[in-house]
Amino acid sequence: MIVIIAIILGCIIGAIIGNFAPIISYTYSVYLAIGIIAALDSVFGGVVSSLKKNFDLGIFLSGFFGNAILAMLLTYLGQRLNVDIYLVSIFVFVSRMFNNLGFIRRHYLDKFRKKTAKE
Amino acid sequence: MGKEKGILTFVIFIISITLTALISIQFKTVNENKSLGIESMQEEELRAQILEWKTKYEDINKKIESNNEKINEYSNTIQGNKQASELLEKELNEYNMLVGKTNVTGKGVVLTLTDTFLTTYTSSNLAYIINELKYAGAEAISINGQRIINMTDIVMIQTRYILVNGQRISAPYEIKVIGDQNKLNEVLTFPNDGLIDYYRNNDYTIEMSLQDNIHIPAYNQEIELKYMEEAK
Amino acid sequence: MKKWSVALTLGIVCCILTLAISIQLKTIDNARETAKLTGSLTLTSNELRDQVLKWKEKYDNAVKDLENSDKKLEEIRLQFTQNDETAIQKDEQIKKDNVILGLTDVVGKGVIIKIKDNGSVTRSDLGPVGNIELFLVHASDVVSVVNDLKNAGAEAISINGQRVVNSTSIYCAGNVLKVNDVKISSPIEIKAIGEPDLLYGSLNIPGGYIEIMKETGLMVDIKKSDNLKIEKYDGILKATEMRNE
Repeated sequence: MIVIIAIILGCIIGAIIGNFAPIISYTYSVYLAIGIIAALDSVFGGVVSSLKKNFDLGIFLSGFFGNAILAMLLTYLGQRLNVDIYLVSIFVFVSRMFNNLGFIRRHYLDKFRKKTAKE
Repeated sequence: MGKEKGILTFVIFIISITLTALISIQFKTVNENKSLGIESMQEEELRAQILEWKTKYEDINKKIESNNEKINEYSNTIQGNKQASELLEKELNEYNMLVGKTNVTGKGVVLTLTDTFLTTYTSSNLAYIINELKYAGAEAISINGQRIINMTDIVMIQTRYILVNGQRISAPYEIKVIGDQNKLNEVLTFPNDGLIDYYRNNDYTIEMSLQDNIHIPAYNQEIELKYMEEAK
Repeated sequence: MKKWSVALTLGIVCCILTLAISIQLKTIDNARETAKLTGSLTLTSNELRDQVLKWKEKYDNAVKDLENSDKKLEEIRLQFTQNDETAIQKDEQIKKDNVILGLTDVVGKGVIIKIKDNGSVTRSDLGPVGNIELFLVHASDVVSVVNDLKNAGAEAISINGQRVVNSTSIYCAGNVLKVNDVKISSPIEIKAIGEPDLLYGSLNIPGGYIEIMKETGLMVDIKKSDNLKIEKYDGILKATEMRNE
């Protein structure tokens, strides 16, 4: 319960900070976007692992920041090499997100079905 | 267990802050890009945009500077002093000049429009011409001695004569314009699409001369505001 | 011996990889440099976009600064006008001038006019010449409506939020309209403060410009409103050439 409160509170504070922060320049906008996608991917991964009961804070944290930074670095490398690497990063992250979302969906659907079967 | 859960909650709290902050920053940036429409612009357009924002920024900065100067002047004088009332008078005159309540002089151009057998200038012709003059950077305009202010009406009465500021005027029309001579000249005499060529191509008679000492009279009626008031 | 060969292979592979990367980097950098010099490729466009954003942001900040300094000036003026009849009158006059010039937000009764491009144009409507121009809102349409509004005694007018002030011009740039040098596109919403019945009536007279626009296929809609708010002009009125006599 307290975790959910923390999440909601965090989101609200974050949105407020973001609203007052200055806008970033166009060049870096791509990097930020990639970083956000990577971070979101880690979040869904974390949800799934907590459902599987093998959530590890260390793995989650390193994934959250590590993936984001790695994705940005790859994007930078891609821009230097003139290859749109970020497209592939997006592909990987988003497809993994769909997988994880699918797992979450099935998990709760199963739970719901078991509950209704009991009654 | 309790301590671990505390750490976990804290970390998740921090993470959600970072993530939403970043997402909303990104949203804002993308929105700004969209509203400026620079995503799809080509290099030339972008350069024009930069110049446009730069001039706008510089204009505002100049205005801030002049404001600050006035503030300084005020704070250097003593209340009720003669100097203070002079300052106020000076400021009032500036505003009155912008509204059009003072006689003004300066460099600019004079247009002379003459009706012919075939062509007569209508009130909408005059309205378009004024619009074009403003595009060319006109600061003060008068038609046959009638100062054009922001609320000036230009009405055609039964296709016979034209009312400007409620005063009857008739051809030939002499339009006096004060503004940046180079810009006025450049815009108005632009080949084919410019004001002069456009009217000449359509058989109207129009003459333009650059003059260095143009006098434009004040708007001589009281401006009454009946319907609008300042928003609080 | 085996270890040696593994190490050697790895070394060679790494050498080739770094060589390839650095060649590629150099080539790309070179290409970008020449693009910058000749100004031909769009590789620098992102930098230009950066600059647009940067200047826009600077401008936005300056607008806020200006608002503050305007307020300060007004306050200090107020200080000086206390207990002085003529000064108070002058101050009032300055405030009224500001309202007339369009440098303040104003409220009042009036009308709202909406003009839209004709969306239902079909190929056959266009005729053999295919002149779509007729079905789009033009600068001249807006100029005429604004002039009609002024003739009917409108005291404040705005076009899609752009206040019509002394220096306002309305013109076509490509396929968009520009008012106060700001891009505006259909649907166009013109707000005017004045006597609503008079504005409504004089726009709607038979043979008036609204009727002409409707006939050419534009969609025009006029509504009276008792509570209009028209925003101030956020630019600067210039007086660089003219002087008081």
